[in-house]
Amino acid sequence: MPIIVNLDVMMAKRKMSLNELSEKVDITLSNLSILKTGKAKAVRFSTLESICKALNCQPGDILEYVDKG
Amino acid sequence: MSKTNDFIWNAIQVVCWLIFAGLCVQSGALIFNYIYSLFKPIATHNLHLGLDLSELYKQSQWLYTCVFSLIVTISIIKSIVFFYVLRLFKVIKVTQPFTTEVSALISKISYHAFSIGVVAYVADRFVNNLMHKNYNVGDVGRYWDDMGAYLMMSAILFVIALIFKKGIELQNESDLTV
Repeated sequence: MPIIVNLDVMMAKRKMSLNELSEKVDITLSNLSILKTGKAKAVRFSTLESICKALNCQPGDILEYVDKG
Repeated sequence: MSKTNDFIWNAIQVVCWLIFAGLCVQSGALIFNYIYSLFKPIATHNLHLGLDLSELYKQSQWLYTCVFSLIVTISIIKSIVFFYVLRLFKVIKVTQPFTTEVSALISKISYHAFSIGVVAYVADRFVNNLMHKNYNVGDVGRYWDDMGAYLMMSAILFVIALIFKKGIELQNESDLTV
């Protein structure tokens, strides 16, 4: 998929585990795992907002577009 | 589900079971009577619920076999359709109906219903042709006078199967939306 999720990179920079992030943004571990492993088909703005707030970053820090064409 | 819907759901299941059992008995009786009639031709006078193919048997055993094969084929495919309907009732969950298994079952019912319509049409044309050639075929037409209904059912189920496939796609997307 051309959209790459760099959640693990941001989490490493902020030294935050998946469990901690899950508690802070109130999203289940399984959903965060789906996002982290790139299996998600769509992300709600509300989810993106919660994650950016928790990790103190911009959406562009988490989402990256790579042209594979 | 509300109590009324629950009642209707269970009532439809019971009706489907009765129809399935009846069709299985009919198919079995037809097959048995055909084999019996090969050894005892007198059985051709009353093969199934008054069906009299004795004249056709005397005129041509081969045509008798062809007509009977068509009757048995239609009866067996109808049994298979209702078997799939009963499986559908067992498999479908109202809380999460959009599964690949349900979609596959609806498609199968649609294809089998269509095949009933096609075989019934072929049988109808074949028997009409025999009647034009002065063969006596009794009232075999009653075994396929519902071909229009099965063709309509197959068309409607085909559309429903397409909708279900789209529903599954949308559900998968929703499941993978974070």
